[in-house]
Amino acid sequence: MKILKLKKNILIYFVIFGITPLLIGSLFILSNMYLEKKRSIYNQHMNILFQIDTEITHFTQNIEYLSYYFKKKYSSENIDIVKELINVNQNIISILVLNNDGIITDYASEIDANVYKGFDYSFKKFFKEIKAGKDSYWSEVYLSTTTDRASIAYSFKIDESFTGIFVIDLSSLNEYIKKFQSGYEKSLYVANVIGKNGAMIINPDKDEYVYQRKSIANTEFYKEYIKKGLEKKQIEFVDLDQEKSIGVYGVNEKLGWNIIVKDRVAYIFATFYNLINGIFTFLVLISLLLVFFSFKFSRAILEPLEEVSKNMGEVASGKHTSSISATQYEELNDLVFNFTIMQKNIYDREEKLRTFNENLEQKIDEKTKELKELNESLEEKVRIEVSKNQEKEKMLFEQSKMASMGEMIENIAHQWRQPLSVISTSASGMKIKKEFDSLDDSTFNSTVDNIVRVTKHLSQTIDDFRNFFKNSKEKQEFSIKKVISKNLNLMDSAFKSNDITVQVHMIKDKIIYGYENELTQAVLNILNNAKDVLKESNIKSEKYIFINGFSTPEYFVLSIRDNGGGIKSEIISKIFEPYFTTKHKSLGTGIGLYMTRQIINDHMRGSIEVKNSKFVYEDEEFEGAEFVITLPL
Amino acid sequence: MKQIIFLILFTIVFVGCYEKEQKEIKIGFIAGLTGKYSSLGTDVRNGFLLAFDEINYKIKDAKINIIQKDDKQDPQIAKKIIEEFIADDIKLIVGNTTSSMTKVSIPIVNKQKDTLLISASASSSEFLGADDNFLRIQMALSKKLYDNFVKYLIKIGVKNISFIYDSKNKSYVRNYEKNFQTSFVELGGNSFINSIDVNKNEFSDILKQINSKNSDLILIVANSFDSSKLVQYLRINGIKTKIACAAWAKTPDFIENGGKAVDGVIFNAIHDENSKNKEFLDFREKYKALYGVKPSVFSAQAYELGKILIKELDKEPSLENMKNRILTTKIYEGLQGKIEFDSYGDVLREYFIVEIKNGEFVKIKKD
Repeated sequence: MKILKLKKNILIYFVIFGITPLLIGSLFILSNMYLEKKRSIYNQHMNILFQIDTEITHFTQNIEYLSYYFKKKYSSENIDIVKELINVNQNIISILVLNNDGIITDYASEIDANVYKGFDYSFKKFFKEIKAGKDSYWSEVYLSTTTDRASIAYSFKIDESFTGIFVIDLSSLNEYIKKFQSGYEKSLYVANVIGKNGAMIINPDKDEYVYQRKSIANTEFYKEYIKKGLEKKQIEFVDLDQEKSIGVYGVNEKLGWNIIVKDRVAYIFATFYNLINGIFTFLVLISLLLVFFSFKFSRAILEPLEEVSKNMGEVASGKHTSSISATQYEELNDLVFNFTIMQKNIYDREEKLRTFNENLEQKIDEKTKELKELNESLEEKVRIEVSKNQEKEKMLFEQSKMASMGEMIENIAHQWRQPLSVISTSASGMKIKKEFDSLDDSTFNSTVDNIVRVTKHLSQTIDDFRNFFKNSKEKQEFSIKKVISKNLNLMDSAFKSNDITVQVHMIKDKIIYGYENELTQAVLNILNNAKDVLKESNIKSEKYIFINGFSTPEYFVLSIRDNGGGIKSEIISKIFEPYFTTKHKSLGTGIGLYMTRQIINDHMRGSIEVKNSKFVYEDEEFEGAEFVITLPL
Repeated sequence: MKQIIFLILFTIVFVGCYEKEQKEIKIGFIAGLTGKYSSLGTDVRNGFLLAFDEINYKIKDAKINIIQKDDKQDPQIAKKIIEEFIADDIKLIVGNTTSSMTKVSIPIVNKQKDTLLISASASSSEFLGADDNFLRIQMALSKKLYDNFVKYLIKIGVKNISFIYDSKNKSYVRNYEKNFQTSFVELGGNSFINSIDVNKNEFSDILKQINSKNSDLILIVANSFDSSKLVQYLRINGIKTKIACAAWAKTPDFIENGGKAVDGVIFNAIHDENSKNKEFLDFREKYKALYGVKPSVFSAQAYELGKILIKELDKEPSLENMKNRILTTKIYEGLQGKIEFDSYGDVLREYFIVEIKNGEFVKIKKD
């Protein structure tokens, strides 16, 4: 849906639907008026034409009647008739009587023009026509010798011997035609008479055209209309004075004269043009009025609307000071009224909101303060807890150490039993032999060597154990192999008594930088667990522990594998948790592997993982747990 | 939107009132168009207009407007008309038809820098040899013109001549008288034994004066109307003397109004009514078709003048510098031979003697 501008639309509708009908209406009326006017002019002209035509016919008929009379009365004796007739009819200026040779036998004229009886007028057209056989002849306008001005001649046969000629002045016809003046412009004559060949016969406007025997044969009017025979049709043309004219022409049958009746277009349609101007001005005014009223109208509607809109805008942005005045229009006042109420409601609600908001803020401040305090106390608690934890861990560590120590002592005891027994046996044997005097030197030396060796071994074990419980205070570089071998020494007797075979594969020894003893402890825990598992399991095959080690450029990877069957899947993820043990409370603390992980992860910055794995050794498949320790180099 | 509506309104209402402006060339035409002198005037007018009628009053895209005025053979009226023409900014005036009226016009025209007067019929030798704003198609009267005529008259035994004239055309008449007499006397004739003004004398008085003297020739220098009436009058009153008339009267209506009485009248002419020239015959046909009557020498000359103007306008549709243009082109094709202008704007034509025989102008063979 297109969005429209109301103001523009009102304007358009006003103007289009106001002006268009007016315009169409005016055009329709104007064109009809114009045509009507033309028609009425035509009728007028035709009327005039008819009257003039009739008058010309009468005029000529008059002359002809006179000629009949003259014919009757004329005889070579009675020449008075010639003079009388001149006086009787003012149209006839001169009368000539010519004999068969064309010589003037009788002559009378109102004007003395130096024409005398005896003149030879045999070449004159008016004579020649009658001589040629015509009964009568009306001439064109010509310069008459008897009048010295433009005249018309009517010649007629008197009898076999004589021809009569009336030289006629057309002033009475002229006067008659002068009566027909333009209805629009006085003294503009509407009619003139043109001869057959275009010579001016009567022109009341300009007599001189007649005297000058002006011809219109070369005018557009003559060529386009008279020559083409457009008689009695309404014609628009340009007259001799270059004025646009409208008129008709008709032909007088008797003489073949063309009667032209016309009027100037400018005059006829002057009022019409004025009317057009008037209508145009009127339309312009109406358009302006319509435009004005459309603006006024749209303003009446839109002003209050815009004010309301503006107020809404202000309300929307928070200002409440403005108010709208009532308008002139009832409908708009409802809108205004409703809007004012709405405005008040909004204002009230906003006030409420504001106070509520203030309260809320206050509460929030309080709460925030509480929370802050709580937070601080929590932080404190956490700090305490953390330090407690640290303490706990330390304790755990110590506990584990204790546990380990316990185990170790157990191991030592175990480990020492055999050598001690060896020592005791050797010593007792030696004593017995001495008593029986069967003790030889070689038996004595070997037995003493054995006792020395064993005590050395015992001493080494003590060293090992002692070193084990010494907390390494500093990081140092140590050999991983050494750690493994130390572990094995410590566990040697335990493994032997449980029939556990240990396989160690190390490709290369690596130097590790870290806490030697702690690592030893960590590995020991794993070995211990492995020993315990193997001890408890009732596998029929051999009991193995595989220790493999390899290194990458960045790490040393140590793998400790047993074939104890593996760790149950539901507990494998928990084994590194503190206090988690599968053994009975009195036997296990559950912190061994936890400590191992702490040492590997935290102190050595390595990682440890456990998984169940299957492996093949000597064509037999074994399943067990595998611990993989990764240490950074 | 408003503007569109207004524009539509405007165009609808005023579309008909718009008229295209056309370039217009205005030519003034002054002649004696009324009264007994109008024979000459109307002939000149008719001939002149025929030339322009042929081209429909249009040259290239310019309209030609010929403004006609009647001087009525009155010097006051002639002066007023010329002044009006000049005020109307008309640069070319064709006229006057008589020498007297032309005499009035020339000084007024000469005062203007760029106005040109051309006459188709004024023949006074007063206007010869002047570098002025005046040209004419009519050959000027000069002694040379009459030598031939005079020789002929002498040959047929004329010694004493009665001279009848129309003082209303003084310029022409004086000229005629002077030049003719000079030539006549030079070649052995006597000076005029009679000198009668047809304006101031009744025909009966003229008759008396003619009768009182014994003349071999009556020489009438007047318009065709007066001349023809006079000849008729003299003849019916028994005057059998040979009559010669001025070329001024040598028109068809002279014969028409003179009937058989004018048989034998001789003229010194530059125009052969019986010319067999194709241009002339065509012209005569057209003239008759339009006006219904035969053209006279003046119609022919006026027509020639019209053609000369048209030829120049065709080259350049303006009246600028017309005199120089005509004098530069110098030679034009006339209806009965070439028309040649001299540097002063006068023409030279061939002339011959014509006699009326059986109602026709007939060239007398030179022997």
